[in-house]
Amino acid sequence: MILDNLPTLGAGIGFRDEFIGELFLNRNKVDFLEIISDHYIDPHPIKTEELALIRKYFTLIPHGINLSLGSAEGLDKNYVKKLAKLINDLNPPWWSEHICFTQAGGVDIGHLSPLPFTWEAINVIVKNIKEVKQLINSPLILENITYMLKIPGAEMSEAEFISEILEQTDSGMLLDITNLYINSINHKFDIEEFLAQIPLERIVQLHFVGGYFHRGMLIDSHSHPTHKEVWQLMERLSKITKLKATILERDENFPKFTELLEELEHARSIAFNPSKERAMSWV
Amino acid sequence: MGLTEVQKTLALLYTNRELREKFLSNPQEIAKDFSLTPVDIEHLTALSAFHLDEFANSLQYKRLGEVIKVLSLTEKSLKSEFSDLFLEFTNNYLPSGVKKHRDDALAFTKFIMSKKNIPDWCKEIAEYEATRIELGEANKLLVIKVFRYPLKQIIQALFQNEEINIRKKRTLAIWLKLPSQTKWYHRFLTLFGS
Ligand SMILES: [Fe+2]
Repeated sequence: MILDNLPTLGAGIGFRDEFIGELFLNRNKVDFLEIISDHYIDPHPIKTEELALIRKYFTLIPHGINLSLGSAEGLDKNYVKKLAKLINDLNPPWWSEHICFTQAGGVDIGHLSPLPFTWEAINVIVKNIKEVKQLINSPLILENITYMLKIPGAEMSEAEFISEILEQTDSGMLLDITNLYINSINHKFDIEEFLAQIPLERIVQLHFVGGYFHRGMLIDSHSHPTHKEVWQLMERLSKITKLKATILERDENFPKFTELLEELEHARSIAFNPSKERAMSWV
Repeated sequence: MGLTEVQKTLALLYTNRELREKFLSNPQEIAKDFSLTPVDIEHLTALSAFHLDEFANSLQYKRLGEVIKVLSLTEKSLKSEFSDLFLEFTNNYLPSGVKKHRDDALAFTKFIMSKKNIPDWCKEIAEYEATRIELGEANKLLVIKVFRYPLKQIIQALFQNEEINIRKKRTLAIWLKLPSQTKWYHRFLTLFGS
């Protein structure tokens, strides 16, 4: 499997402009960065300069948000071309996208939207992924999303749906453990059952962050410290998978950078340097 | 037919409030307007109204959050009216592509400037922030804008939550960039006798 030879990157963070100053002041405490690919497609000159600067000092993992791999009407060829050029130029150890669709009929939904868990949707996304893989040299890992809305007509569980896509396309998995926790709360399913149904050997990287409760639902807002249940999930996964990377995915309500660094250090201690005492003292 | 049509319908339901409201009050009738199979109609009409609304609202909230990031002064000047206006604006505008949040913000400033019942100084703040956003793409070395209000003092007051002096005072906003550099230098010049 292509995933066997991937390097171990450690504990990284999703790069955001808001903390670029502090990031460089604490360069040795951040193992690598995840960048949003879309921010560097048709970039403003400042973004081009920024990319040149951060790639000098960090390994970068491109993370796409607009590819709409689950679009039944096919991919936006122009966008795919630009994305492929960006990723091939960066030549990262891997890159990531989501199992979802973000556009249809010329409408850009503006967010990751769930697919129905059906064979038809599997056929669509598998075809699109195979098309993209022909153009991008680095391996692809696919992320599970949160969904407020369940699309009726499911023919299988979410975990079976994801597994089928991973197997048919020989892709790795970016398991967002916060998304998994949120979905398990909002849709009342057992995380252990989910884990039992996915190919754990395909998990390459984790995402983690915290959300908040609103009108009885846990919201995937990337705006709060990581939930203790998510740390416990990370601990569990570090024992049953061979993790290559963990990424703190904070987008909103930024605390002091030192707090983000503490979360990174904690993730590192759990996933790459298992020392029970340190890990458990946090939760 | 099939997933293509289902996704087109979902994308519209998520982003078009009028259509969503009609659909939620009479799903069978609205679903007929799309090229959906009877099974697809059955599935779509089984969507949870509460969750569909919540998801659609979260999309708007996300757009609002992104726009506030680049129009923070306009938001401070309009206070709670900012989000009410944004909600109204989103009824007729949906951005797309990798620069959707930038386009959203620019289109929203145009919407604000077109409204009759908004104070002129707030419109000038919106115009000022729109100019700042456009600088990024501008193939120019010098940009000068004339405003009727003392924007420098207004911006300082907004930052410090002080009362705004709304007396007119003609002001030039000047942005200057050196060739081959990406950084803009910015100054205000308040003109006498205006
Ligand atoms: Fe994620």
